[in-house]
Amino acid sequence: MTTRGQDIASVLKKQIEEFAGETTLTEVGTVVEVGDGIAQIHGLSQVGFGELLLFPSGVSGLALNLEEDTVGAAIMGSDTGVNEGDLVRATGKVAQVPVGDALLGRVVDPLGVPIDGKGPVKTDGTRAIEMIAPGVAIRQAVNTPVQTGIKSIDGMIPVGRGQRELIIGDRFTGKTAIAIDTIINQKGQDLLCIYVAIGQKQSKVAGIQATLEEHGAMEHTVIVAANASDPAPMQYLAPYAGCAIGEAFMASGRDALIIYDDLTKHAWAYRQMSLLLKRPPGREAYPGDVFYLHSRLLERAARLDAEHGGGSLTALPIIETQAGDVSGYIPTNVISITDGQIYLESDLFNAGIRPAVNAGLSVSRVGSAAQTKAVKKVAGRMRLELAQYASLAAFAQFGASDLDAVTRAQLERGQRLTELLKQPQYKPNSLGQMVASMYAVVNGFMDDVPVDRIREFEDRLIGYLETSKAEVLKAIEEKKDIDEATEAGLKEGINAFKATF
Amino acid sequence: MAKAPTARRYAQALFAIAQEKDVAEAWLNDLRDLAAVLEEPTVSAFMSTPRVTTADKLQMVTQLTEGRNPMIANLLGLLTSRQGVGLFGKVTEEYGELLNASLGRIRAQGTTATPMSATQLKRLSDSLGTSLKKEVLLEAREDPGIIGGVLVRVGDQIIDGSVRTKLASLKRQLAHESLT
Repeated sequence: MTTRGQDIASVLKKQIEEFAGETTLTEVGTVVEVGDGIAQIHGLSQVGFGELLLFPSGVSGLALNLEEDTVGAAIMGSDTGVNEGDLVRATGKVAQVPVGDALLGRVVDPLGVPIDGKGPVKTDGTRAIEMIAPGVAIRQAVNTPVQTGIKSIDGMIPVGRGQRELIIGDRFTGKTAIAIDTIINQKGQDLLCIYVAIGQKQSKVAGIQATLEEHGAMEHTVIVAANASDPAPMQYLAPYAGCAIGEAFMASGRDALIIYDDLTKHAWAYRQMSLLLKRPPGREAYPGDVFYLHSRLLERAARLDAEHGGGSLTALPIIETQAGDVSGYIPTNVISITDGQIYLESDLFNAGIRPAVNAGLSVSRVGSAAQTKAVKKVAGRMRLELAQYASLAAFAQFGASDLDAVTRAQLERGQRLTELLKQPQYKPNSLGQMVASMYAVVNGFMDDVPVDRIREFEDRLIGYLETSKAEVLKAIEEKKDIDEATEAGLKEGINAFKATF
Repeated sequence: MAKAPTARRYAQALFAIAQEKDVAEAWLNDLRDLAAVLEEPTVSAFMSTPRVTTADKLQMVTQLTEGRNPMIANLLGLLTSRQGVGLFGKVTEEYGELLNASLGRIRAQGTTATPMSATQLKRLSDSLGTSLKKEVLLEAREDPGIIGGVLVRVGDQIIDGSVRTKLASLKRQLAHESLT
């Protein structure tokens, strides 16, 4: 207690001594107009673009429109305390967020202020929210997979570390569920996760936090939230803030995954700000630079080369479409920026195929370069077989009785594959589990199992292998490949299990 | 505020004419005289109401400017015909700024809690002048709210040596300083 008292006294002493000293030179302006979260400020002639401003009420602002006599600023907080005639100070800084490991397990707002009621975040550094993406010279090709734990994605649309893979679909098709499952699957792995909630309901964010905590996935996760009730400038900043936090992990040589949920609402927030700042509206009233808004954000996902630590930042942006229309302005923009998309369909979702991944429209442009050998061996044919099944299934509706044997076999296989790719929420598969069940279906071990018992078969097979053939699953996880010995073990295990089924 | 750039253009044009004739300083007084006349309630009401036609207003301008500087009379006539009489005061201000800038002068406001003595005022404006390398036209203001020290505003910049700001920053530091 005494030492603490002395500490306080010494700090006070220092401050009293320095009290009369420095005067400060500040750039100032006067608020001439305020409303809708935007302030027009007269003066501030030396202020820079994107500079943080300080209003007398304590809220900060972002200088976004620099004109001859006035500056248009977005107010990051409540505008009720800002009055006409207020003296606004320039801070000489750009917006920054605290970064570092102390953020893991926390929920913060776009300025890094914790909003989970767990006390202050003691971080060791800060990083500018807006940064230029890493250049060509310091990047390397994507070659390591992000294991999402979802069979249909890891099997057919593999995502690599440093890739940008869009999750796109209508409302209520399980977009967020894929993101959350991916986060849960990283438990005990080396991939740190950042979930950025933009314009979401507070209840949804709280629910996600609770789910992640329940599955022990909050320890490696940061949630950056700008909720629907937050002002548009905060929603606009949220993805960049989350990205800065992820970049800091990448710069320290680690791998990070960031989920932007969702960029449609981000574009809305930016549209609101732009219109209120009196920037001219373009198509669908979005401003002219709405493409750059997302391209500069997603370009910051990268895989650095070994010289620069070899860290990576993988981005999973989410876009919500209206009635399956992927040709909207924002969806086409983001599709063209990303390295592929996971397309979710409400028809599939309602038909009970969950995750509702449309295998035909979903692609990963990085493709199999980022797939483990083990998955590549078993899943290589899966995509093709599913595509063939999809075209045959429509045809076969008219009567399956007069089909030839080959076609019928293909249909049967397709039904089983579809059934196998169904996966309950919050149950991501490990690599071993995934490879074992895919191996079983692709190599025809499930052909004589009735379609409606496929999932039961899979569950029990995995259970059997985990108890009786644990060394085989372990070998797959470790080698990330299926060599002959492993394959023999796998075959033996499956056959032994089938005898009991 | 949207009027400011417009007024500045008129002021720039007028200042250019005045400089050609080398009478820039004298014209400022002429401008101020006329601006004072225009600010009289009856005149400003007449000039600003849309119910009076532009022709009538122009006639009024001719009467008002009789015997005055013809170039400034022209300016007022031009502004009137473009429905911009309201800009005249602003043009005068901008003209003053342009004149100050061309003569290497700068206006500043010094705020103190208690009135400054003449020597203090002189010392402040001299020291400001040396640091800004300009002649400083210092306007003294009083505001007991700043408690002590001095607050100088030059254009868009504030040199803040007030006790109020220091106390506020001390308070902020004490609240956030980590004592580890």
